[in-house]
Amino acid sequence: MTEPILEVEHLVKQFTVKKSEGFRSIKRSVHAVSDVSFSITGGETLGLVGESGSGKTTVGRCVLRLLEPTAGTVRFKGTDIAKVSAKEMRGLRKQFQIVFQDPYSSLDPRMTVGASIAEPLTIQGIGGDHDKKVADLLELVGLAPDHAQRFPHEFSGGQRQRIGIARALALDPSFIVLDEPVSALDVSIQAGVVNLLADLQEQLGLSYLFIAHDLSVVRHVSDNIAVMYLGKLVEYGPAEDVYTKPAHPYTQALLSAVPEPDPAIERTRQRILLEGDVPSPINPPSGCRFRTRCPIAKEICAIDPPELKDRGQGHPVACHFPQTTMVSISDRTAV
Amino acid sequence: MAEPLLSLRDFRVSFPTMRGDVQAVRGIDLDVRPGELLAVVGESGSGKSVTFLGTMGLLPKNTKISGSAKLLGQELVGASALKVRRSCGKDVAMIFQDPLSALNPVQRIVTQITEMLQSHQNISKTAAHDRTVELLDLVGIPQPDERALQYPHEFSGGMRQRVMIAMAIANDPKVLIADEPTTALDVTVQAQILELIQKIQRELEAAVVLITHDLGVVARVADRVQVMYAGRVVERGELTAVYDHPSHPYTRGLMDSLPGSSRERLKPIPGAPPNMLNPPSGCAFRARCSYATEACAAEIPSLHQFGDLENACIRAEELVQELTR
Amino acid sequence: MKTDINSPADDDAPVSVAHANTVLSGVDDLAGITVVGMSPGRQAFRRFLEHKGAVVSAIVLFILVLFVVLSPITARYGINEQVFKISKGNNVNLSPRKVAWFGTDEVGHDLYSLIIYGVRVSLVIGTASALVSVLLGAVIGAVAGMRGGLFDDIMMRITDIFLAFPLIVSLLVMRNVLSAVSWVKPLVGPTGSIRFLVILFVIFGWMAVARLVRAQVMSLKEREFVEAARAVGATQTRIVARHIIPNSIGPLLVSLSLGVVGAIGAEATLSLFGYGPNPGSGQTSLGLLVAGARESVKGPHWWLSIFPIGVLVLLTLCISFIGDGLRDATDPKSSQGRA
Repeated sequence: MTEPILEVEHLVKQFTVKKSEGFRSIKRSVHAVSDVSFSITGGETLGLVGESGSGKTTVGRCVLRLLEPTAGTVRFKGTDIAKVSAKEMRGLRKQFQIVFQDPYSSLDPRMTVGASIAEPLTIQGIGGDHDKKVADLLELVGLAPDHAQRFPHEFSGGQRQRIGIARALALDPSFIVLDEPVSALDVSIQAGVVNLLADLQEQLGLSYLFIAHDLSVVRHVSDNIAVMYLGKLVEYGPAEDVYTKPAHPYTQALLSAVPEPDPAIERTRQRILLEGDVPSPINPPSGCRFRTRCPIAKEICAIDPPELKDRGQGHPVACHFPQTTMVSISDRTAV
Repeated sequence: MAEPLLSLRDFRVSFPTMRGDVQAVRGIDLDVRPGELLAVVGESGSGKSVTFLGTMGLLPKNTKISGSAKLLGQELVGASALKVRRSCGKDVAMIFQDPLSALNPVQRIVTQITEMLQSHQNISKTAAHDRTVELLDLVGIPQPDERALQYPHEFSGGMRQRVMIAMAIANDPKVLIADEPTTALDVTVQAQILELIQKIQRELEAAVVLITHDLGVVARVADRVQVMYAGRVVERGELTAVYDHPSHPYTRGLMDSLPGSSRERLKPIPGAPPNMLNPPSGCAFRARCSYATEACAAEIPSLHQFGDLENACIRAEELVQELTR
Repeated sequence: MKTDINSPADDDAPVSVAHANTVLSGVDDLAGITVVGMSPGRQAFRRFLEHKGAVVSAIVLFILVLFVVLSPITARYGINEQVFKISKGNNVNLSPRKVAWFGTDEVGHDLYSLIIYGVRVSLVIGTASALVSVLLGAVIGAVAGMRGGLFDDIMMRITDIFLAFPLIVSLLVMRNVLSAVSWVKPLVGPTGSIRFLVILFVIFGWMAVARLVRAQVMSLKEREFVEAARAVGATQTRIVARHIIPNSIGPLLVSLSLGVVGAIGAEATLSLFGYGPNPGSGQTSLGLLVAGARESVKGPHWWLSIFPIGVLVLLTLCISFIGDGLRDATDPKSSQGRA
C-alpha cells in the first residue's frame, strides 16, 4: 500500500497560559507544536522521538483531535479531520485510536476490564454480541477471555497495557497512536508488549504513530523516524538512516546520549554532551530553536530558521550545516 | 582488598500489611568497596531500592529489618535513630529519583544545604554559605551565588538533580547511594548527570551505589554489577564479566529482551515478578525460567562463586554451554 | 511443573504467577492467574468494616432508625396522649419512672415517645435535605467542572458569596424571605413545614457538594481513562455519568453524611430561635424538644433537656463516625500499586 493513511501538514498547536503577576494577568503562548508535517502509509510505523518540551505528545493528541489543532490539516484517508463537525468526528473516531502510557491510570478502576473494552462498542452504537467480541479481543492480546470480569487492579502493568491495546482495537481501527506504550513497564515485560504490537500490525494491517523517548525501542519498531525538538521537526527519514547517518546535530547528540547495554561500546565511544536543559516552549529561541545548545551554531542560525528539506543526506534535515560525519552508536572511533 | 565501606550480611526487610508480611528483601550479602561504582540492577519487586532505604533508616517505623548492615564498621540495624541519623548524611548520603519531592519547596536552596552542612559539621553560617556556593559550582550550576538564593521550583529537572547531588555530597560522604537518579530525566540530561556522578566520585574518592533498571546506564558507568530478583542477589561481578558471559538465566533473559539493532522478534521473559507476600519456595525465578527443574523448588539458592562471577543458580555449571556466548 | 497460585498482597497490588515450562502458544507475557478478586466496591466495604467506630455507629443508628420506623410499637404512647388515661392527679412534669421512662413534659406527654417522634421528623428533614443537596450539588458541580468557562465562574462566585456569611444568619434571613414572599408559597409550602425546611437547607447545602464534585471532576478529567473515553467518542454527559461520578462515590457519601448532620444541627438551631419546624398536628422534632427544654436546663426538670440533648448528640456522633468510616473506606490509599 503506498497510499498515505495519514497526512499531517503544517500542524500548529499553541496553548495560552495565564500568569498573574500582581494585579495583571499576562497571557503567554506555549508553542507546543510549530509547523509539523509528516505522513504515514498503510501498514507502516512512524516513530516520533523527542525529549520533554518537544511537542511529540501534543502531536499525538492533535492527530486524533483529542486536542484541537490551532492550525494545519490532519488528513486521514483524504478527509481533513481538523475541519469536520463534532458529530461527523464521532463517527470517524472508529478508524483511529490511541494507547496510553500509564497502565495504572488508563483504565477506569471501577469498571471491569470487559466493560472497559466493550465501552467503545456501546458508545459507537455497535450492536452484536459484545461479550464475544471482548473475549476475542482478550485472546488476541494474549490474555484469557474469562478475565473480562476482573478489575484493573488485579492485573500487572504489562497485562493492563495489553487490555488497553484490546480496547484500542475494539472498533477495528486502521491507525493507532501509541503514546509511550512501554515506557512504564519493566524491561523484561516491554519486549512482550512490543512483540504483540508487531504481531498485531502484521495481522491486522495497522499503521502506528509510535511516540517514545526510548530510542532503542523506537528503532526496533519504526519504519521511519521523525525527531522533534521544541515543537519542530529537525530530522525525518527511514529508521536505519536516521540511526546510522544522523545529520542534525541534535539527533547526533540524542543518539550519542543513549546508553547502550554494551560496556565495550559505552566506554570507548565519544559523546556529544549538550549544555544546559531544554529551553521552555514559551519563549523558544529565534531562528533555529536548537542553536542555544548546538555545538556548531553559527550566526545565521539565530536569524534564519532552517527548513526541513533534503540537503543531500538522503532524508530531510532542518539544519544549515547538516553533518555528514557523525558519531554512530556502533562507531568506536568517532569524529 | 581494602575494608568495605558498607557491609550487609543476611540483610532482610519485610513490610507488615493487613494480609501478612511482604518480604521485600530476603537475605542480601554485600560489600561496597572504596572507590568503586556498584550498579544494582533489578525490576519491580527486586528489592533493590528497599535494601538501601532500609540501610539508611528511611523506611516506615513498623518495617521489620533484620540481619546486619555495617557502615564503616558501625552497625546500623537496630541502632538508635540518633545514631543512624548521625551516620546518614555524613558518611553515607542518598539521592533519589524525584528531586522535587526530596527538596523542600518552601525553603531556598541555600537554606537547605547550609542546614545539611551545619547539622553534621561544626562550621559557622557564613562558612556554610560559602561552602554551599562552592558545592553548587562543583555540580555545574551556573551563577551559583545567585541561584543558591532561589527556590526549588525555579530550577529545571536536571538542575534540581544537580542540587540534590550537591546536598548529598555536602559532608563528603564515603558512600553515595543514587536511587534511579536519571530515570525521570531526558536522555540528554541523563548523560550530563551521569558524567557528573562520575566526576564527583573521582573528586571525593567515594564509593557510589547506583540503583537502576537501565542496562545501558550500567554499561556506561559501573565497575561492578549486582543483579537482584525477588529480594535476593542472583548475580554479581565485574562489569565486563557480567555483560560478556552472564551466568544466571535471569540476567541472560534480561539482556536478551533488550531491543538491539535487528528488527527481529524480541525475547521477553515470560511471566511476571512474583508476589512477595508469599514468595515461591526455592528459587523465585523458577516459574519463568526455561531451565528450571524440580530441584530448583527445594531451597533458595545461595550466591556462590562461579568463575569470575557470583551467581545464585544451582544449574550454573551445567548450563555453561547454553549460556556463554 | 506445578503452578503456584499466589494470593494478592494488597488489594491494590498486582498479582501474577507464571506457568513454568509450559508456554502458552504464541503468548509471550503470560497471563497471570489471579485469585477471585474483589470489585473496588467490595474492597471499600471491607475497609469500612475495619473502622470500629463506624461499625458501632452504624449499628446504633440502625437500632435508632428501627425504633423510629416501628414507632407504632416502640413508642409507648400516641402523639397527643397523656400518660395517665385517667387523670389521676397531675401528669405534668413527672420525673422518669415506670410509666414514663424519660419522664413527662409540661403538658403531660411521655418524653420517651416524644423523642421517638421527634427523631423521626428530624431524620426525615436531615436525610431529605442531604439527599437533595447532594443531587443538586453534584449536577451543578459536574457541569461547572466539565465545562469551565462562564458557568463555572458564576457558580463559584455564588458559592463564595454565600459562604462568606455565617450560616445561621443566612438561614434566618432566607427563612423570613421565603415566608414573606407570596409567590414562592406554592413551591415551598407553609412556613415551617417539613418541605419548607428541606428547601431552605438545600438552598445552602448544595454549595459544599458542588465545590467538592467540581474539584473531583477537574482532577479526574485529565486522567487517561477519561481521555480514552473521549478518544472513542464519548459525550461529556457519558463521561461524567459513567466515569467521574462512580469514581467520586467516596467523597459524595461523606458529603451526604455531613449533610445529614448539618441539617439536623441547623434544624435544632433554628428551633432555639423559635423558627423551628412546625410539622403540623402536634408533631414535634428533636430540635423543638431541645429548644422547648431551654428553661429546664437550670430548673428541677432535668430530664426534659438531658434526654433530648443526649439523643441529639448520639445521633450526630453516629452519623459523623459513619462519615469518618466512609472516608477511610473510599480513600484511594495506593491505587497505583506496583510490586
